[in-house]
Amino acid sequence: MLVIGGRWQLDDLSTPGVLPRESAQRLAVRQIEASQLVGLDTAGAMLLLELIGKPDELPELVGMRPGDAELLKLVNQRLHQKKSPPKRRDHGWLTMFERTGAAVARAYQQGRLLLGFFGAVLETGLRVLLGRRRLRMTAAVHHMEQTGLDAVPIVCLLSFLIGAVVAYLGAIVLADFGASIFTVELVNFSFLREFGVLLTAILVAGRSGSAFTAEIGAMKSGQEIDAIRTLGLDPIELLVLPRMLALLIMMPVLSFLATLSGMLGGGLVGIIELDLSPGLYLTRMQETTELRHLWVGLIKAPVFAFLIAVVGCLEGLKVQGSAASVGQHTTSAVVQGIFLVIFVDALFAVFFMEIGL
Amino acid sequence: MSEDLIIRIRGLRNAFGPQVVHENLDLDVRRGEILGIIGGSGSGKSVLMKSIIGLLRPSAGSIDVDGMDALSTEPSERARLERSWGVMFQDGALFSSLTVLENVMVPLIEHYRGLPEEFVERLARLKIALAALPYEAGAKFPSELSGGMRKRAAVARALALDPQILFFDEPTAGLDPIAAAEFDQLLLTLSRSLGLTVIVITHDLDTLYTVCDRVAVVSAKRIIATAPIAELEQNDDPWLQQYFLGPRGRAAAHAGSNSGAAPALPTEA
Repeated sequence: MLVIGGRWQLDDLSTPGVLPRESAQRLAVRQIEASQLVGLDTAGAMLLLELIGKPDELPELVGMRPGDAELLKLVNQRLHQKKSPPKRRDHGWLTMFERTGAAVARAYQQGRLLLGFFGAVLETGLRVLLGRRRLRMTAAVHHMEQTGLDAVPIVCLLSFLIGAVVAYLGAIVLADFGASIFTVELVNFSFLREFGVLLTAILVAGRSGSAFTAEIGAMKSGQEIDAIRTLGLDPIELLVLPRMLALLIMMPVLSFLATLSGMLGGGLVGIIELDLSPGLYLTRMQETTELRHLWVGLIKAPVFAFLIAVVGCLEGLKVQGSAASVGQHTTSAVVQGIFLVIFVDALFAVFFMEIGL
Repeated sequence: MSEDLIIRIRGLRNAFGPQVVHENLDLDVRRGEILGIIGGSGSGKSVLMKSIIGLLRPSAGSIDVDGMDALSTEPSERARLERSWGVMFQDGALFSSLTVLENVMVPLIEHYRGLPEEFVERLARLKIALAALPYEAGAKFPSELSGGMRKRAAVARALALDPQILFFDEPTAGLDPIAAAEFDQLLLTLSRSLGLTVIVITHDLDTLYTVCDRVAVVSAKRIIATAPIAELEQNDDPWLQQYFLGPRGRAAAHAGSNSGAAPALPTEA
């Protein structure tokens, strides 16, 4: 027989030293005498039941208040509910392999999805060209304003500053070789071929790619996309194509402006730092810089625009359920957008070098 | 007659700017009963619950919970008050970044720093079982659960501190009839076996008929009646007449009387 008394409640159990040790011996009890028991809650009941390690039948309860006995019975019933063996949380090698595998599978899935979406967008675009689908011009112009016009100040300012920084670097490093005049080429080549379009693409991915995801994602979580589908309309035609068209048009324009701003920033620093007259600077520029560098840069702009728009819209359409999901996919859209832009830019660089442009 | 009251509200007044929600509202809740609160949309049922649990400060009146002044702002008194009730919000309001098990452990860890984590985990698992959730549910995140399971997980969290009183805000809203009926049974089991006082805000007539001992009616800024449902049906207030004797009310009453009185200790599937 086990005689228990006092309060078996959470408040009292939390006093240090009250809880028995893990290794405490299980008591074999046939009868519990509880007339001195003042309070019992589920925590106390659990402790008591764990002490008498007999899972199936309760010992005979003597002198226990009916309410407490009822509670003890319920806790006993639920405590010994069938449990599937607890999954051991393994933080070892196995988990590492498992997670690596899962990540690879996810990347593969994402790649497939992206390519599939590429195809769907191209197909819809083709239908628009053939006149089978409508081009949503109003929406496209709206997005051109948002992604293009509104981005002009920030894109120009940033390019101007980076141009100035590149010119400073060139002036310092090249002066050691007595070749500081080459700063002119450094600034112009880098901006015409790479920085103008790359800076723009990174800014647009952060600014507009994320906005696409957030806008479409909010519509998705509000079931607006489902509504569009049930009304027999095509979300790609309605939402994706106008955004894509807007970026395809605005990105080269922005890139061009960024290139000019960068060259202006670099030129300003060059003229001041190298003590060149503006006329001399321009002459040097005319002598060394060919127009083809501009085309090498600008030809990449529509490609980047396409990538950013596809990733941004696809991530928006992948949103599921809650608002938290919108945030996750927006982050993912920006990361993927910037990654793709830089990756493809590297491919372009190799390609142009090989064909000698 | 001295009843054993666990909640006693006198002269409660709630107002948002010029809009008065409650005026001179009185409500008594008996220890161990299941009290339903009904009222039209916008009649202030949720506001009433929020003012009891201290999420909203009434502009006048007194609220006593288990002999304590629920409007007290003294920290130790508040801590005692907050341990005496558990709340299940409408869609669970589980912390989305934590698993179900961690959700249940949070109040235990925060309120009882002295308890070893391993004990807290076992206790939390018991609460999950008490809410009739399968063992595996503990490791899942709220987003991986169905609506019904989220509500059960919220019940498990509400039970964490072994409260005297459980508040339910629309427990069966958005559940299919089977899940709703199971939830009703869960409510009954918990109330009867753990001796809990349960306050249910609901529009669900089936819940009212199967679960509630008494029903309080919020209307015209006050509680116009608190009585067992059979008595309310006889009430000649026009709103109540429509409520209970409309087509849906009659169907639920019919179903309720068919299934007979709720058994003293219902067992769940």
